[in-house]
Amino acid sequence: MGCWWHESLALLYAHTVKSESPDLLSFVDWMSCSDPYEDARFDSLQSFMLLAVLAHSGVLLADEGPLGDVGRTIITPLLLVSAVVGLGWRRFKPYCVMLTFGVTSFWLVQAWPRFANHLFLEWSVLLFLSLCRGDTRLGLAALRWLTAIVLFYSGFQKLILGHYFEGQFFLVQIASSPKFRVVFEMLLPEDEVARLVEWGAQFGTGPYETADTFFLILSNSIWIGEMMLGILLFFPKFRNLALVIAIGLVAGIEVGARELVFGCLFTLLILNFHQGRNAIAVWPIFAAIQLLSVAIRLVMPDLRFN
Amino acid sequence: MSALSRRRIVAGLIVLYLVWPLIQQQLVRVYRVNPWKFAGWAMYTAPNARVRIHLFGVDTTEQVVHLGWRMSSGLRSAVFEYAHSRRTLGLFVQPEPIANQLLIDRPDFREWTIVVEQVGLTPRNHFGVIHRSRYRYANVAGKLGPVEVRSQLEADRVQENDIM
Repeated sequence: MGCWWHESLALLYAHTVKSESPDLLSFVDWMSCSDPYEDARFDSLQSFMLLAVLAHSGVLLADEGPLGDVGRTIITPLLLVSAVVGLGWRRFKPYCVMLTFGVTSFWLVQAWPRFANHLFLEWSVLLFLSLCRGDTRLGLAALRWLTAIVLFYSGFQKLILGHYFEGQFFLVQIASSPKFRVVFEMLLPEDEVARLVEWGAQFGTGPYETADTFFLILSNSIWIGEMMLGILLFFPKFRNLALVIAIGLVAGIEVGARELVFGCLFTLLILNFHQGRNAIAVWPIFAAIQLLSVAIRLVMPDLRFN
Repeated sequence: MSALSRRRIVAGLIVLYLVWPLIQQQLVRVYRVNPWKFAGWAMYTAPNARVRIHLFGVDTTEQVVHLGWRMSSGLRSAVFEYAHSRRTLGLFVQPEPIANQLLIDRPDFREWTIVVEQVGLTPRNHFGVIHRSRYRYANVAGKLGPVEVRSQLEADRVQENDIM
């Protein structure tokens, strides 16, 4: 029973970790591109991550549990020092990214097992930025791999585990989540929305189905789009088209989900596929949005953007 | 670190990132862990996990007693804590703390059954019980006996009856 597992793992080990031939590792370069701004791009991602993780840690300040205590006394102060030193003194930036990676690892351990995937994504980006600080091309290729994997699996998991074929997931969200209702109620007849709101996703209610063709197309286009875009990003010919659609998709999802920590980071990771200088210049805007969204959450807890 | 070593590590990590979501998917299907968690990128696949817990005891007259919500603060907090963990870790976490609290609260019972129901969208798109586990603990001379577990997927069960 375990044989094929052992053989597969041994094969993977031989082809990656143990491989002496660079050819066997060449799949990493599928995501490389001739980028004249490689170093600047890597540097901007480092700067963004220093501020992004600091902004994200702001949510711990309002946490009244034990994680909040750890956040207020250890995590946020260390991330603040790391961001100030890293952005103030350029030569210390790579070390500050490593410190931020260490603190984020500590945060993950403290939050286990209830950490959000957003935190894990931040941790993963910091991992590659720390690991590849001497090889920016490799680091950017790894981050592009990570982006395509996240995008593809977001769709694939909806296909296998999700409730999207008949629009069920979004119907439940309309029934139970005011922030989703604002977006999707425009797409359904008024009486159908009223029925869903009355059900409120309570035990025994249903069926959560609709015959509205546009709603069904929208529901299914989400998972199909995510999978397709994840694959299209591998092909240089389609990259620009895929990244424009992917940014549109993330923006569309964020209108309902309002999770700006994820939205800003992921948009910047998608922009990483674009070889122009403009994609580098926007990082301060995204960092500012993140800092602002956390500040709003601390001042007005009901108005959540994370 | 040499360039080749760095490349090997990055390649290994990419393979791991490629394979892990498939493993997480199986953890969700088989062990009922929360699809939103554990880096499987399965956020927004299913409505947030909900759990319902029912407590039963068998008294000295062989009568099955449903404990309902008349419980001590210790038991209430054990149930709350367990429900919280169960929503995330699924079948990996067992209700031992609840059973221990039941032993303290009702030492006169011969056995206790803890029924844990996962509530979600059924195949017919109703909100109902999609998975049920029963944990049976015997009272062996004032101590908890070995647990007997029965878990099963439920299809379209939206009725309150037949919990035991």
